Amino acid sequence: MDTLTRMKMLIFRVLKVTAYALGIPLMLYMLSRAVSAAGGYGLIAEGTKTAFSYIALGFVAVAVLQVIVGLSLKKFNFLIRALIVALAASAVVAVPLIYIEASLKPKAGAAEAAGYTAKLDRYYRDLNSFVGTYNLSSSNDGYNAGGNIDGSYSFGKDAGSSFLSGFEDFEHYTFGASIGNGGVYGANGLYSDGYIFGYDQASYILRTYHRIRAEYEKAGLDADKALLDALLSLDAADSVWSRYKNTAEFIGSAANSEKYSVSVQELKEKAEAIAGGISDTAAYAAVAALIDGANTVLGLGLPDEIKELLNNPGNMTYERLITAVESLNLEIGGRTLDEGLLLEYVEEYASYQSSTAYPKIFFIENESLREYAYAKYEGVKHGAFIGSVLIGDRVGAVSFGSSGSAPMSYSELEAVFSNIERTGESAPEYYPLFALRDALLKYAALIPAAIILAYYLAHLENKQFKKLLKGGTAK
Amino acid sequence: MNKTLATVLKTAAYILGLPVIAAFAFYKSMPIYRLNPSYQPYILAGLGLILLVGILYIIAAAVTGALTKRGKGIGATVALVVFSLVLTAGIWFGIDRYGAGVVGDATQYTLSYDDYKDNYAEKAEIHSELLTGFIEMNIKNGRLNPDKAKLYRSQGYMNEDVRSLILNSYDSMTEAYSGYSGLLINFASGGRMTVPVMIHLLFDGKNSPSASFNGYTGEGRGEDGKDRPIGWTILDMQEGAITFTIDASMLDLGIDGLTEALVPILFADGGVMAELIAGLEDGVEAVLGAPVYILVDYNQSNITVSLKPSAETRGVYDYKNMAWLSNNQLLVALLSVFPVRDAFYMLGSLLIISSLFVGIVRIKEYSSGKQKRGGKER
Repeated sequence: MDTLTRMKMLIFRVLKVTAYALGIPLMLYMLSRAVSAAGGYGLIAEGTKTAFSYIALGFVAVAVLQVIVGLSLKKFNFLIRALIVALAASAVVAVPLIYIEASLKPKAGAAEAAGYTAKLDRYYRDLNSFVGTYNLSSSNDGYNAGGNIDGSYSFGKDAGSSFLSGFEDFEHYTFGASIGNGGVYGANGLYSDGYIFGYDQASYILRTYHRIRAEYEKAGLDADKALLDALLSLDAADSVWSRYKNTAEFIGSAANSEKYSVSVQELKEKAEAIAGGISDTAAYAAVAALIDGANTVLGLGLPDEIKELLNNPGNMTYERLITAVESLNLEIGGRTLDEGLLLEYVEEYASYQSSTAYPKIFFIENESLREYAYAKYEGVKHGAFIGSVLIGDRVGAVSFGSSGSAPMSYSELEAVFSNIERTGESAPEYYPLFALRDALLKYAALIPAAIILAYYLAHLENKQFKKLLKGGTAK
Repeated sequence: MNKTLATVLKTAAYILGLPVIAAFAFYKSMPIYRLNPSYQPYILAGLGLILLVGILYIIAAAVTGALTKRGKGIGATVALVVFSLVLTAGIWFGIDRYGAGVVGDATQYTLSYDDYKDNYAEKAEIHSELLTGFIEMNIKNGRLNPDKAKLYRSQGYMNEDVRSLILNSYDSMTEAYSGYSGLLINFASGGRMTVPVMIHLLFDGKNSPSASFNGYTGEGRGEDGKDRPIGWTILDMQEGAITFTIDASMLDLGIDGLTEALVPILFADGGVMAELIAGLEDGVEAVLGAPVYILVDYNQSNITVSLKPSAETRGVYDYKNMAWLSNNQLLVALLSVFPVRDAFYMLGSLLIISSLFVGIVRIKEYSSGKQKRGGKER
């Protein structure tokens, strides 16, 4: 008899614990799964965690209430106690659900709630493809890989407001200052040498570039042509740029930046040294004779400048080399290779823009054109340096290890930007609660039922216990 | 309990504890010992750790034994079991928790703790090859006396010449390396070696020669026979060659098959191109202040040009591997600790169970002793 009662007691106890576990603990487990799933979507991870904490806190309050009810309402029927606790637990689930249904969903739009995971997936797909194509920093604010080459300081976008004395009409200009976060600049308002664009900067540059180009096109003009004209007019002897170039500030920083540039003179010397190395070899004469023979036999029509260089190596001066190269009429990217193009390449790849001296484009008067010039400078020249080319035939990681990617068209970019920004804006506000809603919804009814069942089983267990006590006294 | 029986049981339990773990660790360490014999005493760091644990355990066993004699057997047994857990898995929980940070900081994150902890046999091979490869390169180029090749091979790191040559090479490279802007190095090693970055790296420092280099005939050694400073380029610091591919159709001479016929002749070993390239190399060396080797490979459609650093003929690796090699003894010491980690994690339960067993035997032993004595007194 005793043993049977004990057995029954044990069974009820096990069932009670099981029923209880089916309620709040299972709910908490499901919610924590929703939280870790949201962790995969960095955008809503934080918000979901916060929402989860509130729910968890609510359930702690229910547990406290359970103890209080257990102690203070002993005289009452167990059903009353079960009712109070179940009501409280339901409220913890129902209040956020009602808020989401009645207020949040109408605000965000039901469609938004229905497809939020698909939207998040698309957000990350678009973002990754943009970041990958243009080889951007994975942080939306960009990343500073280390100041400036010339060792000068870097600043945030809000630093510096005044320009030189004597130039009272000019204010310091920081391109992209309207972007919410990030941006690390040199003293001259250009991005720091070590600054790698994030989504925010790259999208801003590309938008600015394409927008202003389109504006010029609409007016039947060419932005690049306008920019070139503006820069040429700054070369005038009485221009503000010429005046600035004579200031001590400019001369000082230009002298410093020379250490980080390969000058045209240095380039000439290097070319002469390399050509001299080749022409010094015995094979040179042999190859020269071979080419000369082929020229005569096959009628290749080699220019005289080349023949002269082949037959009479002697002193390989830069002048002889460049004349020979020009005589070949080689085409690179649709342009004839001549000294001018070569110097442009030197300017593009081997010259260093000081991070303290203001660039020429700073002095462009037309504000829209100046913005265009900055966008182009950052997207082309800074981009080529950091391996995140934004504007050109090949974009992104144009480096020794990779030839970059094909650029995205402006319409493609617009679609990607608008999607990323729309989801990026609404997701942190709405989606954590949508994720929570998914988890809460299915278990809303189970919780009170499980609690009531647990109370009932506790009651049954208690009855067996009393029987046991009675039996004990009877003996 | 019979005293002799108790002693036998305890001895058996002790042997099944730490000595078995130590033997297993030793067995797991064999590849490290076999591959890096010249790094003594560094390879024995792991065994040192076992020894330390052994001493601590013996002290703990003695203390808990004394406590058991005074009738505090259960508490003493629990203490010994807990201490066993601390000595085995416990120590490693701690090392695993902080090891990654310490190793990362010490090696500028060129080396990862996680990469080493489960991969030590393979890493032992890599670090062994660093040393043997270095010795071979330098016997070949004459920086190490070829007549003593056998000695160098057998003594390895224990040979004074080898050791000083490693340091000499590394110091010379370090001086050049420290002249590079951190920003440019970050870009170069972070997959952003662009043309402008490369130009800055090649020309910003204007290639001043760096610390005295223990050279070989032909380079690095002045006419007076003494070491002299030499120049390094960024190519020397980077692992692997820089390769470009040129589309052979660019050389189209307008006659079908002419390019295909000419290219093999021009590019043959010892052919005219080889000599022209040697001339080009001279020119490039004059510009850069350090030799760069140009290798040309061709097939039907492509000509591949590789720029190879001077490192190999000079008998050095790229900077990262040189940094590892110069600290190889410490890396090998670190490596030797990981088999011990395996053994302590895998067999830690042996020590815990044997400790419990020893505790039980002791309690039985001393309590029966007490009863006997008590019996006599009564």
